[in-house]
This record gives sequence, structure tokens and C-alpha cells, in this order.
Amino acid sequence: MGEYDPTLLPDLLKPYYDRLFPTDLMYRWLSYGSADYFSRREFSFTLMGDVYIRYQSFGSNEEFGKELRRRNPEKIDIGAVYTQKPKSRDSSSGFQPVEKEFVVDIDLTDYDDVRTCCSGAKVCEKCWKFLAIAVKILDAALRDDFGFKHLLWVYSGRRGVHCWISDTIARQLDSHGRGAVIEYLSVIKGGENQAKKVKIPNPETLHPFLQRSVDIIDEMFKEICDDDQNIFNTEANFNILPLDVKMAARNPASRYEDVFNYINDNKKEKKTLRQLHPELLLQFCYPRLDVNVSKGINHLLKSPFCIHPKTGQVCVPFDPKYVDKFKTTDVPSITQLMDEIGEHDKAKESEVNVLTWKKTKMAPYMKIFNDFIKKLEKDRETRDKSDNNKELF
Amino acid sequence: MQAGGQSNSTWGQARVRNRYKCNLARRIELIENRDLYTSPISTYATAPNANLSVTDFERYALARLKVLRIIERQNLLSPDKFSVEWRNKIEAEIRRQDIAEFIIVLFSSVGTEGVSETEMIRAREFDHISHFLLRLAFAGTEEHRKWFISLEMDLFTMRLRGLVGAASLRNFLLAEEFPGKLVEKDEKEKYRTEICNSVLLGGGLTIQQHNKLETDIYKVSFEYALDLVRLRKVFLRNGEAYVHHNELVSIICTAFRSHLSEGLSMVKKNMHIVEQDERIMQVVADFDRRHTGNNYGNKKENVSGVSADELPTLSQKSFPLCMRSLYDVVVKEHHLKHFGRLQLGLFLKAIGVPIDEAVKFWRGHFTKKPEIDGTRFDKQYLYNIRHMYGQEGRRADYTPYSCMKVIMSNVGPGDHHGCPFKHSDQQNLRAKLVEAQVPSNGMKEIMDLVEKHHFQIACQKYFEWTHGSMTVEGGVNHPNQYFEESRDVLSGKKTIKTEDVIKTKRVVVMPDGSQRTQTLLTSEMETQPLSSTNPETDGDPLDTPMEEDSAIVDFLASQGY
Ligand code: SF4
Ligand SMILES: [Zn+2]
Repeated sequence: MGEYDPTLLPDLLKPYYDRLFPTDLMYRWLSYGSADYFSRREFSFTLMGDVYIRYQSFGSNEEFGKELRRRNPEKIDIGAVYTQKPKSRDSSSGFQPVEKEFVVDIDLTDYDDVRTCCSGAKVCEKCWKFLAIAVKILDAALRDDFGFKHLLWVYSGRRGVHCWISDTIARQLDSHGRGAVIEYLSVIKGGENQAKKVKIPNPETLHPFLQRSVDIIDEMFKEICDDDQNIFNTEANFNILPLDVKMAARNPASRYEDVFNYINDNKKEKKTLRQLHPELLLQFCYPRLDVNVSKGINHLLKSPFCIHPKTGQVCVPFDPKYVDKFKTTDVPSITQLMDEIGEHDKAKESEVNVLTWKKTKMAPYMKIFNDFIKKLEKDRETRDKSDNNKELF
Repeated sequence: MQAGGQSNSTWGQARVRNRYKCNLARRIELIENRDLYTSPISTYATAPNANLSVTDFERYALARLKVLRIIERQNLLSPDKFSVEWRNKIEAEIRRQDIAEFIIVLFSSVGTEGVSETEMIRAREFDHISHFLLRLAFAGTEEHRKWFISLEMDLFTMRLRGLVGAASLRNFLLAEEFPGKLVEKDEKEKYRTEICNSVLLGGGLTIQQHNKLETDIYKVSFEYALDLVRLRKVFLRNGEAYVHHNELVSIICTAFRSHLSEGLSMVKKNMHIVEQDERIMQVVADFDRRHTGNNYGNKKENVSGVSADELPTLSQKSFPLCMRSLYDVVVKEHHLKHFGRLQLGLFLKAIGVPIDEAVKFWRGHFTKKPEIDGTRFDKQYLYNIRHMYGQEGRRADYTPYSCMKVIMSNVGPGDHHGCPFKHSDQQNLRAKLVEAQVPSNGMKEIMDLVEKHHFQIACQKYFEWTHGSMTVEGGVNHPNQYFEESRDVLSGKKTIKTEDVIKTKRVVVMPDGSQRTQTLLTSEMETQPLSSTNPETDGDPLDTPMEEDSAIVDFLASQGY
């Protein structure tokens, strides 16, 4: 199977859009049962040679597919649903974004102060554990606290994950509302000039959301922060600790153990330590969110099933329940997919063009996407029914 | 509720929006003032019907602007918004500045302090009209709207909190058709810990927990409790917020906010009418001069150009700490995240760095990073820089950030922007002060001020310690003002010694009651010539229309009121 070569991407994209990109499913998702709704949605394309075109919109599923095949965009971004069709917008008559999925964006580059295994664009299995924790915490909060049901989690193709929350209430939030939700979910505050980034008010009465988050982190904390990352080996991280803890952990060889032994032994007497414990867990492992992406109703975010230009990997949905088992290396690259198609075409020459994603490595990810859409549609049906009933009485 | 019992359901969000619009379309008939102003709190559901003279116009608008600015300043000073202390200081300052109508509306009731019913009604009317005048003034730009909404919200919240505990809150809710359900006892028991741990900050004791549950808990969709959600001060389960009786205020405020922002966007749609009104534009221009630093943005032509080569020296000598820190990061790390680039870039533009020199500066440093070569720079950052100079995108002329904006900015991991006096922890700030050669007694003075959240005063002290005891007249309000003062001092154009100030400036009471000789936070207001009108001697603005102003009435009528 071939290695991915970025210079070949243009040649690979055409067959990809021809044969694999799930245009129909995308349409079923983003139209939410209304062609009009879909036609007011902004898409933007990045074309070869870094040409960036905003405010694309499509009247139908067919038009959407046709344009994709014609343009073969290197990247597709999904924007908001506007008051008018973005393509034929008339800004003098109040062209404004009205709805969009609530989105969450987490990128491993924001973890550079806590991951010692890699930095920047590099990602390994150890890094993924940070994302796994992030997904578990956010998925629980979005479902249990906010009552959202339609969450589409996607791996961005290199070093991040996105979540598209597609419930009606979520789509209708204005930017103030989006801000409130994302602030609720943001625990890590402060920039490079503030070493300690988590402060909890009272360790005895943790907000249930924080309590749940701490519990989730606790399960993996030692593995990640001691075994994998040896977190206190970095001076910057060690310096976050208050003086008494630092004194107790002077031996560089056993810092992690000494820190937590000291905290546990003295927790009873010292409130500061009772407070420090959850604070450390949160500071090192709580998801680092890109707040601005979530706040803006017209913020664009990369579409699922795009190809990441650097890795060639497909931006695929995944099931948050099995996020621990998710391996970025399992995600097919466009090269692999095209090889699969080639093999298949060769084997059954008569069936050229009937091959769909079902026969490639895309299949399991596509199933997740399909299930997500079916659930949306089912929900819509029951709601429509009950609305009709109401009118009868 | 005011507005003659009209139920102005302001419960926000799309669902009720239609109903709300109908209410407006119903066109409120002129109701006797007496009936209109029965409630101590207005939600400003209907526009006033008034003719104002030019002088009154100014007086109304400026009085309210003053109140909002007092609140804004107090927000910076006290970490605990809406605390008793916060409220008391605002009250003290409004009384000190003697803003008569607002003293009555906010802090009196009929019978106390000799306030008669007629006076109360007039004051409430003043509140009503002035609110709508500022709506006109602040609808124009996103930044203005944001500022206005957030301070009107604070004012409204402050008033509403004054009602808590009184039966009037319940009445208020009833009249407003509050969309919540009371939580049953069993359910309350079931989620006892969760509810108790979410309500307010402290707690922890069983007895307190018990007490907390004695009061009513309401369940509402989280959309109605956004402010509580934002602060994580409410228990959320399955999309519903369990709101403590005392926190209902926050919910009402959320509704008020969306009502207000809809009102502003309606004005915005008719901005062309507003823009023809000179007096309104005067209020805005005035606000801009003091607040957003528009004057720094606009006068770039008459500033002699600053070249990229001068920046190393200038940054160490004359940049305020917020900009110096960013500059140093660029030099050391050859990179800066988006909002940092914006904060520094606009500042540089306003000190007179022309676009080509700016590009030279950014490119020179960024391309020192191995992964950024010239082409990548052009691709990724050039647009951004040109944008700042209004040469791309909407071609807007972006204004440099004021202190207020820098101090209030959102700062996350990887970010270096913001105000070091606010966004750096002690250790980091100390290191910066040492680097700038602030001696240890200066250090202590500055750290103490920071501790008390006097960020801008701390900055002023920093100026003094790094400028041979020369000071900034009127305090630091804008990084570009800091820069200009610094240039003036260092070039010998200006010599205001700190000692001179003590002699020449009057002593002013700070909002926290202490007396200071340097008063960046209170002095600017008093030196505004427009605020010199005496609010008490003018007659009833409605009974004695002087030069009648029909533009505003026409405007309001055109809004469908
Ligand atoms: S007070 Fe103003 S000028 Fe001074 S550092 Fe802060 S933001 Fe900059
Ligand atoms: Zn790694």
C-alpha cells in the first residue's frame, strides 16, 4: 500500500470526490429536512494553490455534489446558515448568520506545556490520551448537563478533534449563548504569563460538573502524567507547586510520587492541599478548548470527510464511547483508499464505479456518521408528529 | 411592571421572539406618565414619547453616560461585581457627582430624603428617556453596542437585586410570565448535593445546605439561565437549570439582555437617521475620544513616521508594559498568536509605523523561525497585517485598543496579550519589573496596587518609576497615550514631576473611599466641559420645551413605537 505523498493530492482528490466523499449523507445531515435550510448554508472551499473562496452555497444535493466534483477542493469549511443564500447575498438587506451547530474544537498544540512526548504538529499515542480525556469529559457534560443528544465527534486528520452539536437548541444559540456554554466548559484560564491556570473556589463543594471531570481525569491521571509524560520533570510544571510541596519533592527522581504522597498525607490538615489536588488534575488534563471557535456563530470549521493535506488522512467521525481504543494510525489516508479502489476495480472490471465506501476502510466511520444522521431524522419525525397532534386539539 | 401593565415578555430567544414583535407592533398608545412610571424598575419595553430641547438632550444623555462609566470603573476596582461593597461604592460616587435624577431613581423611594411622588415620576422618566437616547447613540458599531449592553445590564441587575427578598420580586415574575417550574420536594432531595454544591460559591455545611434547600428552586431550560451557566453557578441536568430563588435575578437579566440587543439592532437598521443627528454623534464622538481611543487611530497622518529600526529602542523606553511584553515575545520567540498580533499591531500602527515598516518588522522576526519562510509568511500573516491597516477585507480602519479593552480581553493558553498588571501572576510580573529596572520600593508599590486591582494606577506608577518620576497627567487610559506621554517626557517637551501633581491637583476621593492625589479613575469625568450643567436648576424637561426637537420623535415613531 502506498505512502501518502502531498504533491499527489490534486490527482487523488478527483476520484475521491467522484467515488467516496459522502455527498448524500452530508446533505441529509446539513439540510435537517429542509432544502431551504441547506441552501442558506455557507460553505467555503480552499482550492489548489491556496485559493480561498467563501460564501459558497448550493440549492440542492445534486448541485453540491456537482460543484465538489468540479472544484475538487483541498479543504471544505462549513459555516453558518444565513438569512439569505450566501451565494446571492445582498448585504444591504441584512445578510446575517442565524443558525449553526454549536462546535467544539480541541487541538493538541494547545497542550504543549503538558505533553513532553511530542510538540507542535507531532502526535503519538500518548498524546491521544489527552484528547481521549477531553472527549469523555465534554461528551458527558454536553449530554448530561446540557441535554444535547446529537453529537458528531470527528478526528481532524492530524492533531485535533471537533464536535458538532446538532440539536435544535444548540443550533439556535446566539453568540452570547454560545459564549455562556463554552465558558461553563472552560476550566483552564490564563495565558503564558500565568503559570497556574486553574483555581477552584472550594474543594469541599465542587460543582457537579467539575467533580465529574475530576473523576474522569483521576482514572487516567497517573498513567498519563507520571508514566507517559513525567510531568514534573519540566521545571515550568514543577514550579506551579506551592513551596511546601516543592520542598517535599526535592528528589528529582521521584517527584511525582513525592508530590502526591505529600498531598495525601497532609490533606486532612491543610485545606490548600485539598484544593491543590483537583486543581493539578484539571490543570494538566482538562480539555483545552479553542473558545473563539465555539463562540462565533459565523465561525467556519473544517468539514468532516475532508482530507488533511499534510497527512492525507480523512477527517472521520468516531464513537466517543470507544475513544480510548481510537488509533489515529488506523484512519485511512486518501492514498490507501485509492489503492483499495484500484484493487477492487482490477478484480471486478465489470463493476467499475459501483464500488462505494462500503468496501473500503471508510466503512466503519461511515456507519457512525450514518447512525448519527438516522437518529437526527428519527427525532425530527417524532417531533413533527407531536406538533401535528397539538394542532389537532 | 412599567408600560401600563403591558406584558412585555422579554424571555428572549427565538421561540418567544414572534410574540414579542407583535407586542411592539401593537403600538403603544400614549399613556399618562403617572401610569407609565409606577414600577421602580423599567425594562424599557416601550420608547418614550417626549420632546427634548437641545440642552436637555445633552444633559440626559451625559448624566446616564456618567452613571454607566461609574459602574464601569467600579467593575475594574472590585473583583466582586454586585457585592454590597460594589453597590455602595457606586452609590457613593453617584451621590458625590450629584447626578440628581439617578440618586432618586436608584437609591430613594417616595417619602425618603424628601422625595415627592412627582419628583419620583420625573426621575423615572429621566431614566426612561436617557436610556433611549443612549440606545440611539450606541447602536452604530459592534463595539459600542457591546459596551452599552454590558453596562446597562449591570445597572439593571443592580436595581433588580435591590428587590430580592421583597415580595416585589414575585410580583415581577408573575407579571413577566416567568417560564420556570417549581422543583418538587422529592426531586430536590434527590439532587440535594448537586444543587447545594452549585448554588453560590461557598457552602459545605449541612445546616447551610439545609437552608439553601428551604427556599424555592425553579427549573428552567438552560437557555434562560445563560449568565448562571457561564459562571457555573447552577446545577444543570439534562438541559435544565436548577435555579435558586435568589438567582432568578440572573435569569431575568438574561431576558433583559436579549430584549435590549434586539432593540439596538432595530436602531442599527435605521442608523442613517441617527447619523444625521449631530447631537447624538457628539455624544458618541465624545465617548470614543475618552474610551476607545479613536483619536489615536485617526491621527496617524500627522504623526511623523516611525521606522522598524527604531522599535528596539522605543520598545524598551516608551512602550507600556503590555506592548513591551508582546514586543519582547516577538523578538525572543519569533512568533505571536492572533490576538497578540492584533494588540501589538494596532498599537504600532497608531504610534506611526507605516504599513511597509510594519511588514518589515513582522517578517523580519517571524521568518527567523525555521518553519516560516518568506512565502509562508506572506501566505499566512501578510493579509492579517494589511487587514489591520484597513487594506483588506472590509477596509475598516481598526482602532488601537484602549486599556479597558486590553484589560478585559480573554487570555488563554499560548496567549501573551492582555495587560501584564492584570494577566500576569506575581512571579511573572516581578520578573518584568526587574527587567525594566524598577527598584524594589517601586516594585512593592506596584504589586500592592495590583493586589487591589488598580491595574491602571499600577501602570501609571510603572511609568513614573521608569521615567525619572515624571508622571502621566490624568492617568493611563490608553497604551498609545502612554506612549505619547513617554515621548514627550523623554524628549523634554513635558515635565510634570510627581511632586508638581500633588501641589496642583486637587485631592479626589476614590470610589473605595480613600483619598488620592493621582486620580486617573475619577478625574477625567470632572474635567469634561459638558458635564457642567446643573441638573437641578432646569425645569421639567417635558413641560418647557425650548427649541423643540422633532428629529428624535420622528425617529422613534419610525421605529414602530
Ligand atoms: S494599564 Fe493600559 S497601558 Fe498599562 S499595561 Fe495595562 S493595558 Fe497597557
Ligand atoms: Zn506524543
